[in-house]
Amino acid sequence: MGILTLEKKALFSFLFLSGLALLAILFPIISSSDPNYFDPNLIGEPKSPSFAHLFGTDDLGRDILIRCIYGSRISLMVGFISVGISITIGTLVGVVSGYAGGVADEIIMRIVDMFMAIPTLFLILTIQVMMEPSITNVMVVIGLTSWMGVSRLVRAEVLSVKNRLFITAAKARGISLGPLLFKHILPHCLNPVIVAAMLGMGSAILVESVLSFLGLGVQPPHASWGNMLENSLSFLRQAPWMALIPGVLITLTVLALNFLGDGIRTYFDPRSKTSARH
Amino acid sequence: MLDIKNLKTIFKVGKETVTAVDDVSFSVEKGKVIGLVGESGSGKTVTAMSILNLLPDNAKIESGEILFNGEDLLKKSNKELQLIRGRDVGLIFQNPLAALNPVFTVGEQIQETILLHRGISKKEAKEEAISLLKKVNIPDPEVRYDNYPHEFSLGMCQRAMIAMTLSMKPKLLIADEPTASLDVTVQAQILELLGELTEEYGMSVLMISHDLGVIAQYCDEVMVMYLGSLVEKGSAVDIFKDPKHPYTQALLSSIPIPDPSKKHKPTILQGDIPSPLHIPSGCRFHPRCPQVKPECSKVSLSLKRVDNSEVACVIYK
Repeated sequence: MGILTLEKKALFSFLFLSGLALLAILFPIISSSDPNYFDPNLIGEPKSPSFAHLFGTDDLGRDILIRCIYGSRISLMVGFISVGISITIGTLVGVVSGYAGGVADEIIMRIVDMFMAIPTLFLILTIQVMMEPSITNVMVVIGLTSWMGVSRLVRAEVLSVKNRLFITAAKARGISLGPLLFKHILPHCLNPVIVAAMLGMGSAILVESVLSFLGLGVQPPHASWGNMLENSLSFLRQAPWMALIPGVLITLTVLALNFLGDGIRTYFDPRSKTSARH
Repeated sequence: MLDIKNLKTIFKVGKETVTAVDDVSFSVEKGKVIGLVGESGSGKTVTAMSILNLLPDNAKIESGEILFNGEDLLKKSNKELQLIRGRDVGLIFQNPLAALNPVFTVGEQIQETILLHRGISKKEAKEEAISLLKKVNIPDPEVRYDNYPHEFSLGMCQRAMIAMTLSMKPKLLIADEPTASLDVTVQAQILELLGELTEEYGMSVLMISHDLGVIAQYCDEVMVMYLGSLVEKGSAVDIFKDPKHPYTQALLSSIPIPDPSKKHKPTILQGDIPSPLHIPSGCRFHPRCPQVKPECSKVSLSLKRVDNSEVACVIYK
């Protein structure tokens, strides 16, 4: 059942994203095509989509389809790892803050507010300019600057769950703090976290594209949707598909992640029609 | 075995302080079943939760001693209390469905509890859990082990809670209105089960209830609580045959008798139980007492021996 009861657009998004992920994971295994292989005859003359090159070729005669697939590996990796980091930190902070309550909670939440005031994009830009631009930096910095929303969500859930009877009952059985927090309380707080993870992945992918577009993310010749866009700039009139294809891919992926997150939110919402518990 | 001396538990509500339990002293002896009776909001549950320090964040035990086998639980660290919770003192609740974690199967929760307090393997703990489910008369315990709490009826949830509590063989069982949410036939079954098991395991029981029928059937001694303090204490026989305090008398007269030919007129108390924010001076019961005297609002009272019971009332001098 589960995923099938999602709204239609969430279901399509799920299929699209699964397809994308499968392709990103499997393509390099089943095909030996090199994303940096170029056709010396086509240098300087981007070719429009054809049977030989479904998405056309770029200014260096490289196949855009293959580069897009390799680019999706980068995008998805950035999405997964940075969201992994932010969810881990956010959940930890949220659980501790919510359970501790009182002054500790107040202090932690004010620190969270402080972090929220940091503009992520500009922080990453600064770091990438000062240090050697690397995709690891991008992932780590996105992760370290986007956990605040998650921590607030988790904290709010913990605040309500910790006063429920089964938690008192668990304490009465002598269950110690660690298992109480992470085994008994945490599973009740995960629904909004899953939604936040989907939305977070979308924005992380967007940030990576922006950085690569500005030349501070993935460095050529490695392919990423962002740097393919940048590359296309000087050929916008001559070869619009060079910009269009990675652009559409970024848009679709981010949109699909948002739809999926939204669909899951509706699914968990007891008041909505497609909810899990009606 | 359990000695509570002058327990006072307060709640902070905004800027105000509410005294939920005021100067309550009692003891539970080994193998005895003690009943604690009172209306909703009289502080029964707070008294019970104070014993294991499971109070909500805004509550605090202000003074008193809770001696368990001679050791003051209030002086213990959280770590030490964790060992006592469950292993020495078991707790069962009014709403058994809410007391079980909905995301784990009933069996897993019993197994977890067993593993927590005894160094046995997971497999042995599972077998033990199944035999406990059988012991509390749950049919098909092997199948039911893998059920989630919402797949159980309320009565079965309470049986599972009892199994879980028994798995640690506690010396004291605190039962906080264990049958209040069950219908009468199930209530009778659960009470019978509790009775058998407390005898078999030699547990002492602190039974909290507002149901006097339950108390009469099950308890050796009874304490009556009103607005955070004890008004009468005595053996179950004495309390039910010869209630001394006007409040106890009113409580007993309000029990419906399931016999249409015996119409009796209950003593209906005037007004509601006062807010604990504004506790009446003197005897807390005096604004509603049918036998009120002028001095009632002035004197402060403590339990005094009258015949075989202890009563806090100016009528007895």
